[in-house]
Amino acid sequence: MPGDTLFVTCGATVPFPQLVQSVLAAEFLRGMHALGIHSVIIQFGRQWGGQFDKAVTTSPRMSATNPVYTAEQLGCDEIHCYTALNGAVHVTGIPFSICVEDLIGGHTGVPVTAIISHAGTGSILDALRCQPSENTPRPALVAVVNGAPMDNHQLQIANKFAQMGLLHACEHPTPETLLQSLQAALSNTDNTKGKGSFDQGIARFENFLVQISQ
Amino acid sequence: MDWAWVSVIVLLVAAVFSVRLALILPFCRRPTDEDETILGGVQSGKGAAKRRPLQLFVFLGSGGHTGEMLRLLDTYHEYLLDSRNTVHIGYSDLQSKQKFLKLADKYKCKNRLYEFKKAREVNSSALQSVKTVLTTLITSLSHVVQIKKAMMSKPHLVLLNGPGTCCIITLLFKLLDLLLLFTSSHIVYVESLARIQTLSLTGKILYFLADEFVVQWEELKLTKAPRAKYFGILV
Repeated sequence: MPGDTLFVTCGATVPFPQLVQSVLAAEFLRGMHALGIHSVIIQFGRQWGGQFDKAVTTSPRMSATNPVYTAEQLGCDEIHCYTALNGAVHVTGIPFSICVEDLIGGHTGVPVTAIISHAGTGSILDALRCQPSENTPRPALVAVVNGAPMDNHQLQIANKFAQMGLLHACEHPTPETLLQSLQAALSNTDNTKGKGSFDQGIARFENFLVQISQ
Repeated sequence: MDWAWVSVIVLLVAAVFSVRLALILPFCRRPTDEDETILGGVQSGKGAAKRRPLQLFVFLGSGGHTGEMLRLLDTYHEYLLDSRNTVHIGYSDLQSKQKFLKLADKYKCKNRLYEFKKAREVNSSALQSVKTVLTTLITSLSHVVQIKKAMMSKPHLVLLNGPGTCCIITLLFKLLDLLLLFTSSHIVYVESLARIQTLSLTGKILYFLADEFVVQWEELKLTKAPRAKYFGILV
């Protein structure tokens, strides 16, 4: 079983090829290995498995191998597993996990120490709200803006959370910028800030709903 | 003589409905402060058991809208999805419906489902469009009438967060409120977390119709929606 793991997520519906390709680049994997992370799980989105395999096999340094995680750990039956850098790094691809909160919270036995996510609000909140077991900080978070959607909401939301010191934003994913962002997120963001640090309004909103409905 | 009486009655009815219209639109009301709702001393926690069951209507849009709404329902499940509540769910795509049913199963609330057709399909001719818009309006009206009937008891709540179909739904609720003089549908619209600097199109319309308008970033309230309520990130 590999140690510290990076979790990369593209969102369930909109594919994000630049992100996947940047993560699969030897330059990125080497840098990640140097940071002490020897395994990466990529949630590439529904119906993108064929393209994922294609992206992997264009890289001569990668070879197929048996899965290092079980289907229960990943919340997914379809597992694409490869090794890179002469077996030093494991690359696992899945289309979609049905238990992503448990997975990134480390509750299925995968030690996720960092997350690189597309900058959709759902995925960012999942990452910021995940609750690892006590005394463990939540995984460091990099939010990557997907240029494909028509508006720039992803950019606004990523920058906003970055200003709050909760994550590191990456505007144009390349192996180089991703690696820099990952490094920055691991060292600079306050990963003890998570659930509770930005949702103080929850109790007030519940009272508001109770009152409005009377 | 007869004409005088007729015109008096017409004027009276017109006056009643004008006052009524003013009463059901949000910008004619005294603005309330977010903090008043806490000072109101609403019971939560232990008091929850004494509460009467809620009639809740929620519309699930698709994709991101559905995602945020299901997060809202999950976060505030203690009040919204109590097992004694009846949850009326409007939806227009199957995936949203299935995701909701999974959540409803978790909290065992009673639910009723209403399918709202999309207002217009892509690549349809003008005549077909008119026909689909009309049938959409008619089925929406019959759904809203049914939901409104269930909501004549208190407490009740309509929770919306987009997209466009919510405008039609709100209009229909307001129309019924106008006709049934002494009710309010308690419509709460929550703008998407993705909106930091500008309101969505649905938001711009419902800012003038919804009973309560909630944004999730303070700068949006300050720059674009002064009447809105801001509590923080809610989803």
